[in-house]
Amino acid sequence: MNARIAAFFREFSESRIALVSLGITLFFVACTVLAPFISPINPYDLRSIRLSDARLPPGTQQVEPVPELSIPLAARDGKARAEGVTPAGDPIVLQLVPDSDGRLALEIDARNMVVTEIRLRGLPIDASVQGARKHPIRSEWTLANPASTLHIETGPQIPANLQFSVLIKGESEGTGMTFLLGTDGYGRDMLSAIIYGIRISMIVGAAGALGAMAIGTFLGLIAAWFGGRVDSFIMRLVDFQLSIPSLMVGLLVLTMLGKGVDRIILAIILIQWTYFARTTRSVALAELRKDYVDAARCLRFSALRINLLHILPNCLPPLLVILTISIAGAITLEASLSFLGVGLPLTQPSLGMLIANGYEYMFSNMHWIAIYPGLVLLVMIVAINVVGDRLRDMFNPQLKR
Amino acid sequence: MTRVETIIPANKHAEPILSIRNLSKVFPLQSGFWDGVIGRMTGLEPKAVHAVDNVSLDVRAGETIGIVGESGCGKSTLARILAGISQANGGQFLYRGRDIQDYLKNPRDALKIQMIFQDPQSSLNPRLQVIDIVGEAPVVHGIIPRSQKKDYVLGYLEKVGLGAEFLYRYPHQFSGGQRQRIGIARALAVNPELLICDESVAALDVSVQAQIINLFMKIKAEFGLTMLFISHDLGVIRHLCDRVVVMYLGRVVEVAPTERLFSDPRHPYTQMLLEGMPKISLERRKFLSIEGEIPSPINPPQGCHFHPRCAFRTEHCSQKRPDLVSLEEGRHIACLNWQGTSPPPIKSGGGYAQSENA
Ligand SMILES: Nc1ncnc2c1ncn2[C@@H]1O[C@H](COP(=O)(O)OP(=O)(O)OP(=O)(O)O)[C@@H](O)[C@H]1O
Ligand SMILES: [Mg+2]
Repeated sequence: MNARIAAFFREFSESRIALVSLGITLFFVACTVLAPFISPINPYDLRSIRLSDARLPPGTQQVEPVPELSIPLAARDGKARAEGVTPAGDPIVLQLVPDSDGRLALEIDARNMVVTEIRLRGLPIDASVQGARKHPIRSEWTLANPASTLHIETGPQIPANLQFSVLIKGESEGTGMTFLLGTDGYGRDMLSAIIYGIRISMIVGAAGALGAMAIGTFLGLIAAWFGGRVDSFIMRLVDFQLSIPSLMVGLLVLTMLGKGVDRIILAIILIQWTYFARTTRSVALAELRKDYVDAARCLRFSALRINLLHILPNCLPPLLVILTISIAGAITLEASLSFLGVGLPLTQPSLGMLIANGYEYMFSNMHWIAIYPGLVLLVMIVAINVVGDRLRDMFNPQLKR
Repeated sequence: MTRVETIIPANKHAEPILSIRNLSKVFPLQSGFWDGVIGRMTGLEPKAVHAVDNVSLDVRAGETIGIVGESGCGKSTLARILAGISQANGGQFLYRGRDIQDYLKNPRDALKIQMIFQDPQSSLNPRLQVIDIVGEAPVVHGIIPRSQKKDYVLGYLEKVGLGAEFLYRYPHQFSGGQRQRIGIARALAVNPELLICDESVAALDVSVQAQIINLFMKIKAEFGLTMLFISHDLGVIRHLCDRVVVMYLGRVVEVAPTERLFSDPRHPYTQMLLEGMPKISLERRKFLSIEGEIPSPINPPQGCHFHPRCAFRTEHCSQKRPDLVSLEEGRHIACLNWQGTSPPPIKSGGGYAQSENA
């Protein structure tokens, strides 16, 4: 049996492009299985997503939003002292004293903390801070390059009571995370979203196609075995369904049942069972003419046993071809439905959903949100189809030399 | 109407194991909806193939019956009905005195009738190993427990001349003769009483044919089988069978003990068949071919089906269907010139030869 598999693989690899496609397909399968381990973040975990990261271009480094320390000061005759604690846990001491020039000197003693910005909020209207920029409306002064001592001018006279707060910003720190493919409109890392999108697309596609195979094969075997009216009925049903565009069937089912992974799988099964039923019926009819089926009848096996254990295994090769191509078809279908907004819920974005989300940013020069998932989807579908085509060529004896 | 009471086995005292009366199988050629409507409107009889047409036969336990006839005369159809894998449209079919449908209801009973097929390639499931091909049925039907499967299969493989090294091989790893042996082991493994062999050696090389025929003779003696042997090859039939049934376009035209048939064929069709037979039959495979076109089974000639090719036809022949009548002990013939107003063909076929020369 192993020799057979090896020979099969050797024949398969005679086509280079098929071999490459198989590699790509396997890579996507690996992504599906390993998504939680290889993805930089879990895009489904809403806590790990910051709106502040939204729409960053590819290659941007993620930075930690810097916490701002707010220390209130209440001065009497221009004198005050307040203490705070830096994010690292060190003490900060603020001291306000009138200096010789009639100004107030604010000394900030923040050891072990790089202060990048200081704002003073709530100073009297006529006060001003040396070297600082005032907010156009509010009474808020911002020092971009703070020194350890600030000078506040309060006019001719130092007010007896002075209350304001000091806001201290530390150095912003990179998180070590780089958005290789940028972020989407919700601040989700595109790479992670794509990896999880591959996963959900593959799962939906494979589950849909496998479900369709199970049902279609079952009905095809029934049609072939019983023949006559049962056969006509099932095949007319197939013809009827094939006359309706598959996207229409999908839209109908999903608008009636609502969004959800289970429903989209159901829609795919409803659309794709026909291909399996047709193929199974025709292959099974050919098998039924072979003597081993008569031999099995003569050995008085039950119809179920003959169909499942004798006929079905001999129908499998062409069904596997259809399965491969159906998976690609199911992924396309799911992407189309998700793009149209009836597919998956927003919290579990598939590739189609990512493309749909990115579409609205296409013309604001934020191409990466739609293009990368689009490329991945394209490569995935082409690769799976090439593998399916190769399998079909191999199972088609007319093409054999 | 066939006179059924005339079909008497050569040994009157033995109970027939298998007994069929006026068995028929019709394959409709037009089965579509519109065909049915048109048929009902025009009142025409729908077209159909009478693959088996009013065949009656008794087979006694231990007997080997040969069935010969040209291609398309309904031998395989009859074999499939007798094996219980196809159902007749009309007539009666008793096995051990019970109606076959009733008999087949119990699978353990139904296993008593087994079949060996023509094409050893397609008669084995290509996805199963020999151990499963032979051992599946005995296990499924509870003849042996699963744990004994290997030894049991091995026993039957040895009986058909195959060794233990073949147990886990797939059919494609065997020669035609070996495959046919596996098919025989598969049938034997369920302890059959009646073995139906449909052209079971036709697809094999001549030397292999002889081996398989010897194997059939051996297992027949060893297992006390009753056999129905269908073949194109008159030499094989002569070698194996006690009695021979000659069929023509779905009907039985002559039944006779083998030696009597070969030494003294009575039906004009049988005579034509034997003339076409090579002298040393086992050395060259010879398919039957005789002069005149084989008429279409869809639209067979009226009266006696054979009359367009018959050298002795009279005007009756195209009008009246000949019944199968008893000629002598164990011999039956369906020919108007034998039973009717016209003088009977004289002994040993000489009469026919003379008229042919005349
Ligand atoms: N399933 C079927 N449907 C329609 N017609 C059939 C079917 N099976 C057999 N026939 C027809 O019945 C007739 C008898 O066929 P059958 O196979 O019994 O002949 P045969 O004597 O075994 O011939 P051969 O020696 O070639 O095997 C043929 O005319 C055939 O075309
Ligand atoms: Mg045949």
